[in-house]
Amino acid sequence: MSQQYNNSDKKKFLYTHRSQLLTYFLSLFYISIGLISLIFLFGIPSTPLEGMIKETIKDNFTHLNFIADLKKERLQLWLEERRDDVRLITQSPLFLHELHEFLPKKKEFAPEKVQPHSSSDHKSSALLNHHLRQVINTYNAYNEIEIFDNFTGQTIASTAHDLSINKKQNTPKRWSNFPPGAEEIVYLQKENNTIYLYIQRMFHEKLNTELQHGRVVMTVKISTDDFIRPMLHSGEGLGKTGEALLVNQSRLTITSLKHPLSDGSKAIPLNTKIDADPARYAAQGQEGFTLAKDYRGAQVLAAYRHIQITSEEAWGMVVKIDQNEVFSSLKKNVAILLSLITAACLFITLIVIYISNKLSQSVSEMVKIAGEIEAGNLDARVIETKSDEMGNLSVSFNKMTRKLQQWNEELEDQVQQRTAELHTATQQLKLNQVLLNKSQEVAKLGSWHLDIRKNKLTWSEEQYRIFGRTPQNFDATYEAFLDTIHPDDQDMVKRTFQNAILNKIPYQCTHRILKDNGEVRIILEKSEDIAGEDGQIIHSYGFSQDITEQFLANQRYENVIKTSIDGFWTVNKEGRFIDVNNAYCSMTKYSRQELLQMSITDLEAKESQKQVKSHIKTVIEKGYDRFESKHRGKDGSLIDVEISANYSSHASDLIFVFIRDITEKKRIENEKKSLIARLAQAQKMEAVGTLAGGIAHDFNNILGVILGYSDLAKEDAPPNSTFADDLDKVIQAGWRARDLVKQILAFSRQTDIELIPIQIQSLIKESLKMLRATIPTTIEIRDNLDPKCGVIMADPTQVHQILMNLCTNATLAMETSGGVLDIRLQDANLEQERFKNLHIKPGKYLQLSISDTGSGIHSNIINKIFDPYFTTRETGKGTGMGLAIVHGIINDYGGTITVDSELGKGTSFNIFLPNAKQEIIETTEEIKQVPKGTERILFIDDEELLAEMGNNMLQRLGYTVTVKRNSLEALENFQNNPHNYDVVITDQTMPGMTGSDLARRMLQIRPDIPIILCTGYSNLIDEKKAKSLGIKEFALKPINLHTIATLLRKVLDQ
Amino acid sequence: MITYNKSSISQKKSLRSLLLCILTTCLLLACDSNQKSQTPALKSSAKGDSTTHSVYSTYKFGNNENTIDFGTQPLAVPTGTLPEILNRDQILAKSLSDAGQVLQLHSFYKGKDINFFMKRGDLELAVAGDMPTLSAAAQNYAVALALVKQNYSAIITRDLDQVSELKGKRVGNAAGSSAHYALMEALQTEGLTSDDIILVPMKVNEMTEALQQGKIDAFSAWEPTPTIALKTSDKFKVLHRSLSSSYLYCARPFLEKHPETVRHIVASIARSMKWVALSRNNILQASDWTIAAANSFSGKKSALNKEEYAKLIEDGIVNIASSPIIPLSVLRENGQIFNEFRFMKKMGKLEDKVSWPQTLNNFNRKIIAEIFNNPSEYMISQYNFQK
Repeated sequence: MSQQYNNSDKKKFLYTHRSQLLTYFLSLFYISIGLISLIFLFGIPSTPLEGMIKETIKDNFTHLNFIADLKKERLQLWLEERRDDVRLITQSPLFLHELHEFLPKKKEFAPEKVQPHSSSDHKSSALLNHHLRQVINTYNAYNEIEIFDNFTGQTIASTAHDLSINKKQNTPKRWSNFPPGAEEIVYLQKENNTIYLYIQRMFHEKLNTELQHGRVVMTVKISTDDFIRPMLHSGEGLGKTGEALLVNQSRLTITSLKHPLSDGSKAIPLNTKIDADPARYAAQGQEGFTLAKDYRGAQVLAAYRHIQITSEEAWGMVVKIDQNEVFSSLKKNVAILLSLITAACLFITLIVIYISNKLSQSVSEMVKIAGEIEAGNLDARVIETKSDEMGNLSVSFNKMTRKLQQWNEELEDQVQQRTAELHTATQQLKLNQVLLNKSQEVAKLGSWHLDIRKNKLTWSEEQYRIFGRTPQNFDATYEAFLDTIHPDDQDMVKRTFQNAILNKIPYQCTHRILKDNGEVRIILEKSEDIAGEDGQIIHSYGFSQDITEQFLANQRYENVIKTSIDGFWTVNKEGRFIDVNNAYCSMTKYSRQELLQMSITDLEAKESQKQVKSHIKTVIEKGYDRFESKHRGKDGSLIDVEISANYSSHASDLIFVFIRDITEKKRIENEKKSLIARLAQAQKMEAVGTLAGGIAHDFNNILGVILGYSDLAKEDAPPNSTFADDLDKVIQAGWRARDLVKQILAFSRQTDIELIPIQIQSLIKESLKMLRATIPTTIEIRDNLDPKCGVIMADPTQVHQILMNLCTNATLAMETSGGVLDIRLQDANLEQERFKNLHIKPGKYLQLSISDTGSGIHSNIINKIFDPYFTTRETGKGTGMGLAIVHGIINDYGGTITVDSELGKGTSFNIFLPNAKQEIIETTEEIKQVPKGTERILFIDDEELLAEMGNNMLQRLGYTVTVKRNSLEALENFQNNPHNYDVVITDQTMPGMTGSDLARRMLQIRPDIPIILCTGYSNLIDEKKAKSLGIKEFALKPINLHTIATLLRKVLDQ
Repeated sequence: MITYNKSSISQKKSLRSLLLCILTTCLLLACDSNQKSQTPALKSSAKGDSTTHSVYSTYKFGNNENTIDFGTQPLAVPTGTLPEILNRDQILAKSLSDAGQVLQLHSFYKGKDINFFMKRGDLELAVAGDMPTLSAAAQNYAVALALVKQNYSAIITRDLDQVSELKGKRVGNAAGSSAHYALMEALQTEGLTSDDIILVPMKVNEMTEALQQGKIDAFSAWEPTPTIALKTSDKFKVLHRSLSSSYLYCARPFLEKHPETVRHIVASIARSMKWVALSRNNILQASDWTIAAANSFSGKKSALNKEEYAKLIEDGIVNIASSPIIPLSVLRENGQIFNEFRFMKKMGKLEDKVSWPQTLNNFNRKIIAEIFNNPSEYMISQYNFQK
């Protein structure tokens, strides 16, 4: 193969890598160079060469313009200076004076008379000559100066010759050269091959006026070669070919030229006409810059300027330089560049050849080696000699070859290895088959395949076991399979399988089989089908599983759930019901179908959706949870439930929940709580009662003193006096206070209230009278009390309390705005329809209505106003007990109270109290005389004031009184002298020994001794108990004079 | 490379005659006031009728024996200077008064407009540039009497370096003016014609701003516009200059009817020129009057100060024209007026019967000579100008 390659290499030389590389490199290189050169030489917009040409022209244009402007300016300035010189001289007083002296001073000045007559004339002429020479010497800008007579042409003074005025000069006639009105002329004239610039100016008209205007003229003569040409050429900076030239308006050159004319001749000033454009433009009055041919016909860059000296005299100036010179450096640069490009081309060509050789050498070597490798010689290697890319490529190539060789060896190894592995795999496959069979046996899962076209059924070993068949006794057809099925299920199985085949859906069926031994098993079957090319099912692959135990277990589970009295759910993680039992349906009144469309949140009444999710999460995390909640039934009822949830990830991520209805349990618990609360309230009230009892005792003692002394004082007071009246009011208030104590005791159930039949109109009137005195006048009180209203069983103090509570509330509601307090009393027959909602017994009632026009009661709180301790007032301003007491009193009377209120309009309380059938007890007491006596009394009270008051009171009644403040001391005294006393009056509550104990002991000593027991309040004894002890009378404090006097007479007179 | 340039230039030269024809055609088309081309100032007028011009239509010309209507150009310096001095010449005023006449100056944007009114008989005298003067003289309705200034029109540009670069560029131009002629001359030097550029008609006092705003690439104008432009921006530069002269000229009928009045007016021009040349103060005084006239006409403050105006007056009048007599040099063959006549003639803008001798005859040097031959009568050297 290597030999073959070498032959091919020779034949296809042109297609070798080396030649191609060489061709590509050189082609690209030359094309690039060519393009660059073309662009450079001929340019695309803004190409270098064109730009350089433009730039060169621009630079030279600027340069030439600058020089032209400079020279024009210098020339103009110089000319102006000369003209100024002449003007100054012609206006110079010195010259004017000398001329004045010299010239005849008369108007008829004639040429023939212009002759010096005297020495003074000679002197003047000499002086003028002298002055003119001085001017020449001073300014050094003039060749000659002359003053002459413009009419005669005679010279008056001159620097040219030392002439005298009488010498006739053949000076050209110049007067005709002054245009009308002009005082100065400038012109060029050639003399002896030299061009002179003449400036002629008339002497000042002041002088001339005296003679004749314009007669005396001064001329200055300036050689252009001496003065103008040097100016043109000085500091030229115009290179070898450049020059500045001047032409007059006829384009005759003013100065000699640098170059010969096109015909080789030399230009003659004021003789040679310049036809070149720049000179023509300049002579015509134009100024600018142009590329044109000059007088030689050479291409030049020229700046041309116009110099207007006077209106008649103008010059053209051209400053030019040969284009060849301008572009010479550019040409040189281009030549150098082209040479460099050529050299670069050659150099790069050599480099490219060298590189391509070098590159192709390595590549060729590799191609050769690759050919050997292709031929199978994997031991062939490229020589690795370099460290560059090709060297790296060689290394890589060799590595690749080694790798190839290695892979080849490895491949052979692998083939051997794979052969061994295949053997092992075959063994493993067999083992797997065994394992599969075993697995199927364990799982009771058999597999099968039915070739529908051939009606050939293939069963796994386990399938045979499950069906209780053997390959020997099973035909392995579909019909044989059907024969194994329980007769009751055969049709169903057949239908299901056919349906799956026809509709090309997976087959699934649970059915029973009947084993040969008669055992019935439950089988779950599933299969998937494969269709043939015609779309018909031709294969069915499936499995059969013996689920007898699982089925039975499921049945048991369902029975448990079905029979459970608790509700049961199966829910998924989202809380949707998967299954519910009948118990829960009953609990919520929903059907099972309805519930299966719902989720927990549809039923949950206590927890928010978020909380439900949280609970589900907790259950999933913990695996279980137990908590209480509320569900809402279909009828809207709330059901207290206790929930027990379990979660198992093994159970298809389902949560199993038992729900127990604990509504009744909750109700009982609530009632229990309520009872406990009421018990606490009762205990509290008992404590209040105890407290009230204590207060009542002391309070009654105090009232006893007040009332007692008031009675005594009234006894002493003059009848019908103001003092007596005042004492009556004190006594009346005292009794009211006593009644109040009784009320307190009654409320705290410390005493029973005695209800008496009363007609309450007068009580109402009395209460309103008291109220009127205490409420603002902005509140109007209106009453409408039916005098024919019946009697009720009530305690007057309580009635008073009801009125005061309700009226006080009403006045407070109108406190700021004022209003009307309206009190009505009338009979009401509660058998009438309109009272049917009052929940009290039908019958005749007294309706007491108390209405105000105050702020009203908010509907939110109207149901709470009768609750104890409920108040809307500030802390410390109300006890919250007022309406509770009212409500309690009315309830005790068998009546009821209702309230109607509207915010901003007012409140109305209606009290219904049952009519009493009893007659009214006259409360008016008959005024009787206080009975008096002279017996001996032992008076015992630990209260000093009471003891003293009792002593006074009894002594005033005529009795002999022994007062003791200590019960033990009193007992001792009585024990010592039991017959010294006719009667004993003792207080009940005393330190050391109570009144009742004392009485019992005294009665033991002297059983006939009459004893009166007085008490402010005692829970230890009452009238009945006292009398059972032998105590004659039982009196409640405070006791007034009349009462004690009556009681004394009662016991003493028995 | 060099051959390329030579060839290019050679080709240009060979086309010169053709280009010249085109150039002259364009120029003369613009020259005649009765022709189609219109200046911006005449834009509002219908078919070249300057009587409907927004400014000129307000002028009240005397059109009688006693009123001498004098056309001037306040925006041209120093062309507009001498009329301002003349207008203040008390000697002239007395002469005219003695003759029962009065002088009335009317300002115009350019000579072409002056010619329109002079040809109609509204103006008796005027000062204008060489081209309008030549046009009027060639058509034989006016006689040129005196040279009033010599200076240069200039092409000003910002970004261009050579006249050849004007090709395809927008150039501001006052059609039919001496500056227009100067532009054509410049184009001709590079073998270009007006077809090679885009002529943008505009007033001279609008050109500097237009160049600055980039609306045009160059403009051709007479003084003081070039000086104003160069003062306005360092970037502006002169691309080309052409000699520009201005003349006093008179309607032929008026000259024939009132030769003595004309002499007095010419004498006043001569007197004015001499007076200006007398002192620096006189130049400055003349600057003031010129500035006032320019400001009044343009409605804007002049961009140049008094000193700068003085420089233009000095260059254009004092240094060049020591006598107001029309120079023979401009009338000679290849002289400025002769060349311009030849252009017009070649382009057929002058009737065939119009000849150079006839035209030359309308450039009158005799009146000046008569005046200077009789200086005391015309009081050439006496000065009395109303300050």
